[in-house]
Amino acid sequence: MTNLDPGLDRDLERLRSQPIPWDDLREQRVLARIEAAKKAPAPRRQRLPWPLLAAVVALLLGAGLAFVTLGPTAETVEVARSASWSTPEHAPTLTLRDGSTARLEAGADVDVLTQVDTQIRIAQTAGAVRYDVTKNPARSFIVDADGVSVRVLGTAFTVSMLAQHVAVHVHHGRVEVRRGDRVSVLGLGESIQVERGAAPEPEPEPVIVVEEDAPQRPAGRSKPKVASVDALQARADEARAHGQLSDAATALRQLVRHHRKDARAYSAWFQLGKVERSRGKHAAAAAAFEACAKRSPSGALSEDARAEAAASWKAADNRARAHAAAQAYLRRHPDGTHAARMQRIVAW
Amino acid sequence: MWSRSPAPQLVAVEPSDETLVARVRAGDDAAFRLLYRRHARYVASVVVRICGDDGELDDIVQDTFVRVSQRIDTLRDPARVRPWAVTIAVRITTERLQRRRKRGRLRQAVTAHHPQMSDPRDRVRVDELYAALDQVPPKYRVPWVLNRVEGQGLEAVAEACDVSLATVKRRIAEAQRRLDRRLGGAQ
Repeated sequence: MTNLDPGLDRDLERLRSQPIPWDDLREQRVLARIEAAKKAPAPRRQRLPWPLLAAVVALLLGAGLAFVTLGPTAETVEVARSASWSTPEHAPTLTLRDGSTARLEAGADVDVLTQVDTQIRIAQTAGAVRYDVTKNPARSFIVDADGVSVRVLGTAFTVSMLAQHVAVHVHHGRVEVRRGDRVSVLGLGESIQVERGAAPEPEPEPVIVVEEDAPQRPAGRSKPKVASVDALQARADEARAHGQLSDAATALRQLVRHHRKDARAYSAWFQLGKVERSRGKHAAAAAAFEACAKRSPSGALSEDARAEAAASWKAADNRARAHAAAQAYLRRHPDGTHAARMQRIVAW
Repeated sequence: MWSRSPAPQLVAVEPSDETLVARVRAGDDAAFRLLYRRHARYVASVVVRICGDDGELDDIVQDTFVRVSQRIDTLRDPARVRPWAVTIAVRITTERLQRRRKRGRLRQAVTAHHPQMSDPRDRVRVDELYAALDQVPPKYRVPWVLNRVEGQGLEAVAEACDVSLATVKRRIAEAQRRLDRRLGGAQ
């Protein structure tokens, strides 16, 4: 089976010398997909009979035509868990699961990041939105607006994204406005304008969703078409391969923001944590790792993500968050792979 | 006679493949992750060598380990989980290569997906080799790559391809003959 062609042998040597495009991030990403596939029910292959297929296509076409002709009629949108909404022309109201509402003015753009019993978290990227929040001491309600974090203490208020500032006006109740380590509590009728943009680290209230590297979109314009998960992942991989960590972070942030329901967003959070840590943004890394673990608490990456979050908080010199993250890890994984490392962080 | 020795330390002991397989069979997800981390890179390297690009690498590795998980009860020798996983990966890769040929997409690779090489001329030569391999049916191509590129022995190739030793020898020879014809013999 030997080959007498020395040219081919040289080519084989070249081929063997190629590095395998497989790193720990890719390994983690594929593992997350495997875990998701293992949980998913086996796909059933069925062939639709042609007449039925034709009927379905006709129905879909009809429905599409009706939508185009009539447009959306409901002005109130009930949000099941998360949603993106951009309103160039009309102003719908998002109704959240706890009964709180967010009324969007023209051009406003919000994403509901988290909607669970204990927390509602919204990212507002453009325009003005009035929030009417139901009172619930057991649930935190937070609006992230380009580096400015507004924590609701039971109230109604409006957040407006201005060119250089984020403006907050309280209609009733109280809110806590935070940017980095600066905090202000506003009461009835009070307003504040806070400079936009992420605060320097360490960030007590990390902003984990704002696209800090992406160009700001002027309010009032319609949302640009979002790239697919595959395209964003490929862009991130390519950027990482070339050491362009900022570009990689931007692509991953867009992925987790615009495709949060996609299973791959879970591993993207983890990758984002690693990328942020590589470029020395430890608080952002910690926030991304925490978002990863939070998205799927029992997921394949979540144990690692909890440990990395604690280590990143430590690297960010945020003792309180590092302790909390390490203790959270130890509560959940008392015999985990990183238990000894977490004990050291707790003792730090 | 007692001698003074350093204080004892706890040393992590890596569980064997047999232990991990037994744990996976008992439903231990952590053991499955360990098994995956131990063998995924090797499986990925085989897939990349066969395909010549990593355009479908994630999908193939994913499908491979999903099948490993689903069929681990059928593995007769738990110590040989790696060659068994490679056999699964080779089968999946072969199916995908056959689909590529049917679709006429002989090279699905995108330039950006190619691994970085220190000398771009090397990339050109490797591309030419894979362009020739694309003309070789997968049933000949796969054993040839496993043997000639991966350096696997004929028995291992036969096992990975799930064919007899005689068949694998014949297929590798046939692949070589076709490649020689495509590449014009000496280069």
